[in-house]
Amino acid sequence: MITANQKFNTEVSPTWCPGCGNYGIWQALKTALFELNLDPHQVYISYDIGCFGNGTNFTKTYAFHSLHGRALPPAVGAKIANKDLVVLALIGDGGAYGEGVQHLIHSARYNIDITYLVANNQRFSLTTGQASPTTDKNIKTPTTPFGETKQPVNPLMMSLASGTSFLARGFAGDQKHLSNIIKQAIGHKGFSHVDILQPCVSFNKENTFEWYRSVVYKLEEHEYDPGEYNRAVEKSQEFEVDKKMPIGVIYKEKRETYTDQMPQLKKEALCKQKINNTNIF
Amino acid sequence: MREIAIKIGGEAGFGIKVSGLILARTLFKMGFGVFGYSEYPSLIRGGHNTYQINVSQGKITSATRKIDILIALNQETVELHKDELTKGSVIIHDSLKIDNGIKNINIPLMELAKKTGSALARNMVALGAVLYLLDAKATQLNDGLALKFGPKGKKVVEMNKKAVKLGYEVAKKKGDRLADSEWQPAIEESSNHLMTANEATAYGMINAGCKLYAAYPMTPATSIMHVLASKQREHNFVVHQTEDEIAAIGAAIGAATTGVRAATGTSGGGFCLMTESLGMAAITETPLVVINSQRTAPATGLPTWTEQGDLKFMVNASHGEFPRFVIAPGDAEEAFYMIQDGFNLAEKFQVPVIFLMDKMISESDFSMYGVDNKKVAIKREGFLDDNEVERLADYKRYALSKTGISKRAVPGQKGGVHIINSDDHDEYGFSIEESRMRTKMMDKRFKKLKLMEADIKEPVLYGPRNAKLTLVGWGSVKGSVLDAIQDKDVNFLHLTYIWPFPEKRVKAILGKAKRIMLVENNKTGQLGEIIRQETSIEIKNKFLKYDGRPFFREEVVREINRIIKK
Repeated sequence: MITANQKFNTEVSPTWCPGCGNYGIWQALKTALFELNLDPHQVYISYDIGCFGNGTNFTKTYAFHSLHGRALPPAVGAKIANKDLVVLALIGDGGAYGEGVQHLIHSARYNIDITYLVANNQRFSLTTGQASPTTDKNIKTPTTPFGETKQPVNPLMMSLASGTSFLARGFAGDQKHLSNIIKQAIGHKGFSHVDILQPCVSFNKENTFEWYRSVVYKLEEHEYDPGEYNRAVEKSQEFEVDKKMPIGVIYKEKRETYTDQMPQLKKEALCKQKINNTNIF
Repeated sequence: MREIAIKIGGEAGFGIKVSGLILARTLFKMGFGVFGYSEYPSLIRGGHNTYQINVSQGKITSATRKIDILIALNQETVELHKDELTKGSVIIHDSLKIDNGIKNINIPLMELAKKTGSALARNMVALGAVLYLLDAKATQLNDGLALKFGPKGKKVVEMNKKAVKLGYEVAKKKGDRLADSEWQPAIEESSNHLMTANEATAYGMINAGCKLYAAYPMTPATSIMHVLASKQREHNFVVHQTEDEIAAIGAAIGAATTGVRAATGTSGGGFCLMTESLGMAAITETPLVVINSQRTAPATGLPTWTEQGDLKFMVNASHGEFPRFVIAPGDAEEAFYMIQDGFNLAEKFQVPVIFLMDKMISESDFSMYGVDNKKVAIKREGFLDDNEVERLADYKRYALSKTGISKRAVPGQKGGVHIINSDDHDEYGFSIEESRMRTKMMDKRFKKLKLMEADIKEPVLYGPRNAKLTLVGWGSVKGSVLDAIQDKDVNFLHLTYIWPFPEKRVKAILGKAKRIMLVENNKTGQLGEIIRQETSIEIKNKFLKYDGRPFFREEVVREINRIIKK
């Protein structure tokens, strides 16, 4: 029988550092696609520029390698034009919460049926470890030699406030758990955002696999209902309050998607409609 | 040929544009040639607004500085426009201060409007007076009023009809007719439309089968979005209003990768935000149409005024080098046909097509005659069908072909899985950094340029072949120049497909020209610089204007006369 790797690996080997958190995310993604019985030609992934974005070359699906921070816009266009595709956008914390943060806010608001996976390693690692929007205060990096003075963003809170209809946090060090989250995110009808804790072994000496293991816990192992918005807000701030990081599905709601509200697409995807000169005049 | 110019002026919110358009459309329907031109500041209430209608017995394509009838809805209009009046001109007003010696008809516009039930109808009272001066019937406006106010109910239509009639009757008592017995419409062609280049562009996009228009509102491009939004359900396409221009061009590119025709549109400022992604469309070889309707720049500039300041920017926009088309229609009719051709070219060559307009044509009303929905056939090119893709053992999206164009498989097709890559890449789409493949891919993309050159529409030479003076211009200057060179020993070389540059034709015509004058709505004569770069011909006489206003017909006439006498 064919395996997830046989189905979704290209002939290009990953160029990530040995021990990088991206390997776990990559494996979890391929497993999720495989277990959902998807074929490479049914999936469209739009990638950011960065370490995680370099995954474009390693994963066999239709892929769009976009610009830094711009993984979402092409994904949105592709989904509107071909609603039959399974569309994902893969990005790092710099692109998702810095350069292209507006696209997260608004794609969540449109509730377009796209899965947004953010590998959050709290650094700009492809450019050798500068501070990113999620870098903690006082951390020293090449651009913050005296310690970061800015407060980090809370991506979960931002996403909830923007209207994300599916919000989860995963951990690159727990592939099985993460893969299950990604499966649910893809299955969710609407915008799904998964913030993924991703240790960077080269440029982040603080947030290591070990450190993450000491702070994360699984929501499923506690009585938690992701249908309650106020509880989701609480969970999203837990680290700031008592240094614990819940992983799992934080929030989920049923809401009409962006394309569901377009009668133009009801019959057939736009890209399948034949075009002819009209009687416009 | 007789011509009369009518200007309505007042504060924003007075319904200047609405009433102007009703009159313009009515006169156009009657068989007159009409050109409508509006000026307004960037605000919603207050400030000074005008709508000018040039109406002629034959066809016209431009606005004049001189006006014959001024409807002044406030004192400011009188002060700002009295210089534009001539001896026979007349002001229609309601108890305003008018200098001695200026012909005027004082009509209690407000009082009469109130009689109909609404002070808002005072424009219509004034239009009634204009109809009398033009020797038309008061009932001529009925269709236009029904069309505009019908949705608001019968009562509103009747109220406006009454207002028109009241104005007509008062004028009859007070004024002399401007028109004489020879003032008759002379145009008999059917299938006529009065519309802006933005409206025509939107119609062209629908006719070309554009399936996604992603945009962020920006004057003066926004009305394209308005028209498309209202027609998206009827014609099965989507208007996607994005969070910003970067998202707009990104979404258009993403949609285009699935095989649909897609476009985005904006003005210069929004285009600046799009430039990084413009290069992405180029390196991923994704067909894309980007509309830029220019306004007075740089930065916010004069947001609601016109300029041709972006030409060199369009030819060079985005970092790096890649082939592109730059197409600049000169009026609504050209906009309708050229945008359709633009979609064909984008798809054929898998390159970005920049469609360059400006406020002047985007928001002026042009008379269009004999429009043909079938003139530009949709040519779908470069796709592999499902069977072809499935049979391929080894699909290369960026195959190094002879023409530089490679066949497209689109997402969803089995067997065609590939990377659409903004990193430079190999034939499959995998990222590369190796020198030989990089050189090959650059050469592949530039191979298309030769074929692209063969597909552009050559610039048109209007007027006598061997004229005393040859004017050269592009895009929106067309209308004023064509009206200005009538009956003169002057011709006009008009460029619309500007990049790739039509070097041979420009060289041939300008090489033989006796005298050349450049006409451009910008400070530095950008087309002139491109002509020098591409043909080594230097144009010394430059007629340039960059005050936010388009060329009025008399200005061009005056400059032609000055150069000819030199």
